[in-house]
Amino acid sequence: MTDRSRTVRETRQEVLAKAATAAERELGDRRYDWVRSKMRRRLLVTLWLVVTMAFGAVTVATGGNPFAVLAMLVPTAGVAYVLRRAVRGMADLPEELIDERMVAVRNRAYWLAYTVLGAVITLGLVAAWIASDATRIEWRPGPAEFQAAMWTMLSLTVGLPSAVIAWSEPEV
Amino acid sequence: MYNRIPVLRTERGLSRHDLAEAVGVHYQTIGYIERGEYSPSLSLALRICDFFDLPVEAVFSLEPFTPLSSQVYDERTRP
Repeated sequence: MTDRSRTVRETRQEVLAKAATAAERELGDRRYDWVRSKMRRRLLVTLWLVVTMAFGAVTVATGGNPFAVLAMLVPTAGVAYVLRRAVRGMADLPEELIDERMVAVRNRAYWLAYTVLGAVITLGLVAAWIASDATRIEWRPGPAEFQAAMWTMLSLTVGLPSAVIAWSEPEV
Repeated sequence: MYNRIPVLRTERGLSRHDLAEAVGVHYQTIGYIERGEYSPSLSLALRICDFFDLPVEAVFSLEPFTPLSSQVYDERTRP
């Protein structure tokens, strides 16, 4: 084995070891126990949905003003972060670093999140199509509307798997 | 699936954390298995049985277990 391939392998092992330590810390983190009861998790999911919808609405209402976007981005990212920590990062940690039950929980959550996201995108596109053409209202979405759709989709994509786990699991 | 993990743990004075660490899973996974809310893979079931040094049928069953105490007592009093 050459020196270079040995170095690459050692670096990879170091990275994996660091990731495993970080994952262990996240899985055993008790600082977010205050939000881990089922009722509080569901309240958090509701809050995340409200903030996500508000993000889109504010972006449209302000015409995509960067300050307004930033003002909404911070709380949305904050709630998504707490949501992720509330479910111990189960939706995001690499498969090698979580146990078999968590892998099963995550697979179920991703399937449901994929289905929900697909339905939201399809319904949104149908609504936009109807509003812009079929009803002859001739609504023409501009940059602000597209930006709002982008932020909303980004928030849903990032947060939905954790939200599904937070909503449905009896214990996390 | 039914199991005797809580009894075996208590008998040996082990916490869920201890067992989880020994078999390489999160402590909540042990809780899920104990309550019958999650059926472990064959590999995990064998690791648990190996840890307790018992055969699989002594730890896991598809039928509800009879209490260990009555099983032991029945065997002792059987003619």
